[in-house]
Amino acid sequence: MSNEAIIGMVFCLMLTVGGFLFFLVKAIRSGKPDKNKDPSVDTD
Amino acid sequence: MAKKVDEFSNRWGIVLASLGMAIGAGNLWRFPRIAGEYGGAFIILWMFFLLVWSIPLLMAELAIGKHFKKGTIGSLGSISGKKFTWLGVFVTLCTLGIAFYYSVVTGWSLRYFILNTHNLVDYLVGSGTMNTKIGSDHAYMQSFWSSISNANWETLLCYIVTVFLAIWVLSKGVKEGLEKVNKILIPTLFILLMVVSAFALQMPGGWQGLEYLFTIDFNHFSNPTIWVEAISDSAWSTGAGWGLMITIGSFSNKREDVTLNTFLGAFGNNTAALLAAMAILPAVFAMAATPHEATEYLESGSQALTFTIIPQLFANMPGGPFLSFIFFGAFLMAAFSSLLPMIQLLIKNLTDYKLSRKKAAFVAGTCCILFGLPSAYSIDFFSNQDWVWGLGLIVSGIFIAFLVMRYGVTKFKKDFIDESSDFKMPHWYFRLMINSIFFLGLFLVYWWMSQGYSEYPWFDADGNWNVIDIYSNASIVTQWGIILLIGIVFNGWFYKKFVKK
Repeated sequence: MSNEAIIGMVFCLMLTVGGFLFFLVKAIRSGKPDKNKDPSVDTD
Repeated sequence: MAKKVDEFSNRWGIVLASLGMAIGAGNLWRFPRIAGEYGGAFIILWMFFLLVWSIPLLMAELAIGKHFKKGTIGSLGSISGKKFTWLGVFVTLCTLGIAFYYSVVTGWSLRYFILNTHNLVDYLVGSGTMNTKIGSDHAYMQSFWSSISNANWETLLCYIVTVFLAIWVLSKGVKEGLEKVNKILIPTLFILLMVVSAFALQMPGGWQGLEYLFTIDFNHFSNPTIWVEAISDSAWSTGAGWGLMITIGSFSNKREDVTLNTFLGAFGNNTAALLAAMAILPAVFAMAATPHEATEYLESGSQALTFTIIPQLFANMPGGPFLSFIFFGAFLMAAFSSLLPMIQLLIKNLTDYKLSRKKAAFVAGTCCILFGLPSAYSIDFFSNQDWVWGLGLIVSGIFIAFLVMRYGVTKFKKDFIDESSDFKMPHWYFRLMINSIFFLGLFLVYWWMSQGYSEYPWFDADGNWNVIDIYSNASIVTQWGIILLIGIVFNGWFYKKFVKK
């Protein structure tokens, strides 16, 4: 692979996969605040 | 008697549902081809428009659905008020237009999966002649594709089976049906794509595919087509403006973090698309005789690449039937996981109309089979629907942006998004992007319609309104006009039945 392609690959993967992993880690670290411990009920 | 509300059990249920919705056939057949054509420059612009177009719209949709807990007509009608309920009707009917022909794509993917299973079994325990035929006889896959895409009973059967399967899953509810299925489909899909990618990269010439994909040619940035392709692909691939995130949001817990869940789902979709490109492009380059031949394959069009060239290329490599089986398994999973929320959108609106979930699922399935039949029967009708409603999604995006602007962008962000988000975006970002979407959307509709895909975009040679032409503007305007008319004429009825109720 050429140097340009390697630079492009690192840059594009950092943007895409890096972004995904960043938000994934953030979601995991935020724990489970949204866990529905007390399931809501309705009456319809 | 009190009963449990049907909603996702936690964040991961929502994220997997949004990934399932977004990662569809387009990620495997459209993105790799376009990304390959323009290389790294396209990927950079595609990521840029993820932030400009897709994420703000998806955030707005998820927040609206979560806030009002209704389907697309009810939720959008609640924010718009009685006067503009028809906007939600347009968004709903436009996405249903896509669902009806997309169920045919899912049927095709099932048919190809069966073909590849047959090929694998023949390769392992039979004579292997089928694989030889696929690999050496170019006309074989071409005629197979022609036969299944035009008035073929096998296509009809596969298409009906996939719709029934979707209805069966969805009739179990969001938590027991959609969430459980996505927990299996999405991780498996990622693993399968990684397997194909690893196989392809090990083959001689495979790395050339990556070189082709990632080299950044700065001259491309001055080409307006790549900008339009990047924004269009982002809009179509992530499902922004479809109203599907409204449906997913309506089943989410009120404490869900809208911003973080949206970013995670959107970046996950792009990661899957890039993974698909990293699997397909090296495979095409590894199996083509020359790089020139590989680029010719890529330029042959999405349908040709996926349904005729890739099976042939796989058939010519050692262990190819295995890889082809895995690829079309992934394709089927991607298509099916995207079909589910489309049908769920209709089911949610029908349950808002006070139909029971099982009845709503039955009605949705019947509608899907009936209205999808013409697309299953004729590839021309299918192409027309793809063109008309694909572009209609941009209009849906404009409508959603308009409703947010009408409510007040900053006020909307405070009331609907930030109320439950630990991860917050700056106000200026959301305000700037929503305003940009409105104007960018108008430009995009103008641009696509001015491209002249039809020889007679408005009137035919005899001066008649050219509504029959597959790619004519007249066909687009007529079909959009019909659903707009339905929305406007029955605006009061829709408001009364879906919003006020």
